Amino acid sequence: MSELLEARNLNVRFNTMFGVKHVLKDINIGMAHNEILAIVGESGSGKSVFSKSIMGLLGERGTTDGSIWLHKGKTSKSGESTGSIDLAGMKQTELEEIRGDQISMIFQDPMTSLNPVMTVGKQIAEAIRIHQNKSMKESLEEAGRLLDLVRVPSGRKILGVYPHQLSGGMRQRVMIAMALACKPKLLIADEPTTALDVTIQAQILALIKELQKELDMGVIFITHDMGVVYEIADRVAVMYKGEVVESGTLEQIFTAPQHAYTRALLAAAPKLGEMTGSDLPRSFPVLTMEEELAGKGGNVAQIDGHAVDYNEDPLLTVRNLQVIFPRRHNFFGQVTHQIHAVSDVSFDLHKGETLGIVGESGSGKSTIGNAILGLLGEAEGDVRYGEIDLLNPTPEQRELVRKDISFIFQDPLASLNPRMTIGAAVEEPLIIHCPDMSAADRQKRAKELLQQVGIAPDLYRHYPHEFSGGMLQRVNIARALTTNPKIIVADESVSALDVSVQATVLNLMMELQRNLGVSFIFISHDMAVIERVCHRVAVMTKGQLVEVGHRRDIFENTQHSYTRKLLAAIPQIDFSTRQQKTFELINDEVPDPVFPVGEAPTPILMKEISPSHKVATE
Amino acid sequence: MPQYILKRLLGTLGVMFVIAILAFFFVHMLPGDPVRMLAGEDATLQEMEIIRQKLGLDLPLHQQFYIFLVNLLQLDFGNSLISGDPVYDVLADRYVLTAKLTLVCLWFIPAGIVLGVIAATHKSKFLDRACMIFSVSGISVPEFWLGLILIQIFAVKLQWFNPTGFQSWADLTLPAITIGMMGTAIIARFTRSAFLDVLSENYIQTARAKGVKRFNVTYVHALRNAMLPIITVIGLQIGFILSGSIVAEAIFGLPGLGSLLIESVVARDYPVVQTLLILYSFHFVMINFIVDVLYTVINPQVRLK
Repeated sequence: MSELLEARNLNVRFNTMFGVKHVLKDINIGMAHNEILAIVGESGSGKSVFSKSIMGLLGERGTTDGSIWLHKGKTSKSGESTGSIDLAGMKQTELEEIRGDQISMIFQDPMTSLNPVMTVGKQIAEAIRIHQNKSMKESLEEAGRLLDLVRVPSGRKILGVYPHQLSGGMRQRVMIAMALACKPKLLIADEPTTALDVTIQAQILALIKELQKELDMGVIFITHDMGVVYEIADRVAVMYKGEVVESGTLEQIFTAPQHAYTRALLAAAPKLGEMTGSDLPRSFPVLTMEEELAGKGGNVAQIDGHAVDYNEDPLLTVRNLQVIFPRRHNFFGQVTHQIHAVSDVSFDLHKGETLGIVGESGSGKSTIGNAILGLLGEAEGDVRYGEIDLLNPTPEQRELVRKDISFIFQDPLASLNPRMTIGAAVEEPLIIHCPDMSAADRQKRAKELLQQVGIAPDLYRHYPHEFSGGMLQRVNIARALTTNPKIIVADESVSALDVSVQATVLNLMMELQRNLGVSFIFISHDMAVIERVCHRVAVMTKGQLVEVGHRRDIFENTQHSYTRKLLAAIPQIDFSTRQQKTFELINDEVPDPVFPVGEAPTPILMKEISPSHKVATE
Repeated sequence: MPQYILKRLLGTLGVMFVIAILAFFFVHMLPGDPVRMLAGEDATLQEMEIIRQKLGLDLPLHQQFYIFLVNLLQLDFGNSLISGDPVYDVLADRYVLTAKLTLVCLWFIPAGIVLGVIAATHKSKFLDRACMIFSVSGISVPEFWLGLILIQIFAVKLQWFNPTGFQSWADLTLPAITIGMMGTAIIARFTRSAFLDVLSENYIQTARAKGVKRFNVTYVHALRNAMLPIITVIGLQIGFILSGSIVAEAIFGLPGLGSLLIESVVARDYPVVQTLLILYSFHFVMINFIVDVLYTVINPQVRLK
C-alpha cells in the first residue's frame, strides 16, 4: 500500500500575526506507485497545504513535524539509488534536486501558472536542463516530444510561443508536459481542472489518467469535486479542517461513507440525472455542514420548487438580442474585427420561474445577463419587461427597472464594498429607491432581510472580510432582495462556493422563490446545478442559443449535439454501470465568435420539437 | 511590433509639435511687447520697427510660427538677450556637462534594483529593514546637506577629490553620489514592491516546483516580470536628472542646465528659457518613447498584440 509515499504523523503549523495556526493535524496516509489517490475536501481543509508540504513549498512561515517518506526514489543524477528519503526533514537545496525530478506538480490556474515573459519551450526545457544536464538544444527537442506526449497538436510548433497566445486547455497541457519532463515517480495535481470548462476538463482528466498508466506514476489528485474524484481516483482520502476524516477505495467512499462529513459532502453534490422524471426543481437534502456534523442532518426532506403558471404572459421577453463588441483595430483606430458576443437570442421568463442559461466560457451567457441589467450600451434588439423597453428606458422607467431587476454576482467578497458594513450594503438600495424611509425603518428592514437569508441580525454592523464565502453570498442575496425585485439575475452565483455551502445557498434561493415568487435568470456553466434548480434551460455556445426548453426536454430528450457534448463531459457518479468512459483525446476548443466587420455568424434556425422545446437546426 | 513602435513614434512627434506651439506662444503670452523687451526701455519707435522687421514679428502669426519651426529644426534658437550670443552656444557647454553628469548618475539604476531585490527576497528580515532604512534616508536627506557632508569628508579631510569645479570625470563622483541617492532610494522602494507582487504570482510557485534554484527564480523568472513597472520610474528619474540639479550644481560649482535655467529666468533671458522649455519636454517625451519600446521588448503581450 505505502510503497511510494507515506506521511507519518504529519503536522504543519503556520506562524501568523495572530499566533500559530495548526493546519495539518496528524496526517497518516500512504500510496502505491501506480495508483491515483484523490484528496478531497473543501476550502480550508488543508488539502493544498498537504501537497505543498510534500513539495517543501510551504514557505518560511510553515513548520513541519512528522515525516513524509518517499520510497524507492529513482536513481539520482550521480547514479546511486536514493532509497527512502524523508522529504519533511530535507533542506531546501536538497529539495530543489527532488522537485521537478522525482516529484512534480501541476496547479489550478493555467492562466497564471506559466511565466508570461518566457516562451513555452524554454519553460519546459528549463525543467529538463536543471535535472538532466542537457544542452539547450537537446532540452528543446525533448520539450517538443513532451508536447506530443500530452497531445498538443503540432507540439513542436508551439515551442516558441508565449503562454498568453494559448487557450486555457493548451496551457494546462503545457503545465503537464513541464511536470512530466523528468519522468517523475509522483505527480501532484492540485485542482488542475477547476478553472477549465467541462469539455476541456474531461480531456485533461483523460490525459492524466492515460499518462499515469503510460509512465507508471503515482498521482495525488487534489479536488473539491466529487464527480471528478469518481472519474479519476483509485483511492480517496477525505480531509476536513486539517484532518483526514476518512480514507478508502473509491467504491467504499462512495457507496458506504463512514464519516458524517463524507455523507454530507456526497448529499450536497448535485448529480446529473438525479432529477429525471420530476418537473419541478428540488432542494438538496442537507443542512449547513456545522449542523450536519452536529448530527442534526440525516433525513432532511427534499422540497419541490415553485410551480410556474405558464398560461400567464411572460414577465420578461427577449427578442433578437444582439451584442457586438469591437475586437481589433487597424492602424487608424477603425474597427476591423468584431466579437459577436450574443447574436440573435430570444427567450421568455415567466413569473416565479428559474431560467438557466448554460454554456462554456466565452459563450455569451454573462453578456445576456449584463444586457438585461442595462449595463451594456452595445446591446441591440428588443428586451421588454412589461411595457418597458429595457435597452432604452426613460429615466423614470430606469429607476423602476433598477428596483424590479436585481442581481447576484459570482465573487461574494468582491461584490461587496470592503469599507461598508453588511448592514449598510443591504440598506443602500433603500436609500436610493425609498428616499422617504426613515433611518430606523431602513435598519429594521435590513435586519429582517438578513434574518430571512439566515444571518443573525446582530451581525448588522460587521464588515465583509469577517464572513465566509457562503455567508457573504447570503448577504448578497439579502441585498438583491432589498427592493422586492421581480427578477434576479444570478451570474455564476454559487460557482465560487464549496459544494456544501453551494447546496445551502441554492436551497435558500429556492425557498425565497417559493415564498416570494421571484424569478431567477440563473447563469451557470454547471449542468448538474442547472438541472437541480431550473424550471427551463437555455443552452448557449458562441453567442448563439442552440437549445431551449423545459428542464426535462433538455436533459431527458436532448436534441442538439452541443448539449449532448456538454452532458457527456460531466463526470457522472454511477456504480451500477461502472464502465470506463472513453474520451477522445482531441483538442477541439470553441473559438471566440470573432468576425471581420461586415461578416456575421451564420444565423441559426430554430425548429420546434414541442411547444416548449426548441432546438437549432444543424 | 513595428506597427506599435511606429504608432508610438507618431504620437511622440505629435506631442513635440504641441510643445513647439506652446513654446512659440510663450514669448507672445508674456506681458508687454516682446520688441520693447528686446530693444530696451529707451528705444525709439524707429529702432523698435527695425527690430520688429529683423525678427519677422511684423509677419502674420502662422508665418512666424513656420519660421520658428524651421529654425528649431536647424537648431537655431535665436540669440540670448543678455550676451547676444546664439542660444545654441550658450547652451552647448552646459548641456554637455549635464549630460556627462547624468551618465555618471546612472549608477542609481543597478544600485536601486539590487537594494530592492535584496529587500524583497529578505522580506521582514534584517536586510530588508536595513535596505529600507537606507532608502527612506535617501529620500529624506536634502541634497545640499549630503553634498556638503561629502565635500567635508572626501574633499577636505581625505582630499580624494576636488571640492568644486570640473576638470576630469573624477570630479563628477561626489555630485553623482549626491544626485543619484534620491533615484536609488526611489528605485529601491519601487523594486521591492514590484518584486513582492511578482514573487507571490503563481508562475513563481511553478518555477520552484520545477526545482529551479532560488537564485534563478529571483533573477530569471521574477526580475524580468518585475522590471515592467520599474523601468517607467527609471525613465522619469533620468528625465529629472537630465534637467539639471540646481542645488548640486551650486554646491559643486558645476555650470550645468539647472543653474542656467535659474540665471535665465532671473535675467528674463526669454529665448534661453524658451529653448530650455523645449529641451526639457523633448527629454521626457523621448524617454517615454524609449520606455514604451523597452516595454515591448520585455513583455511579449505588448509585442505580439
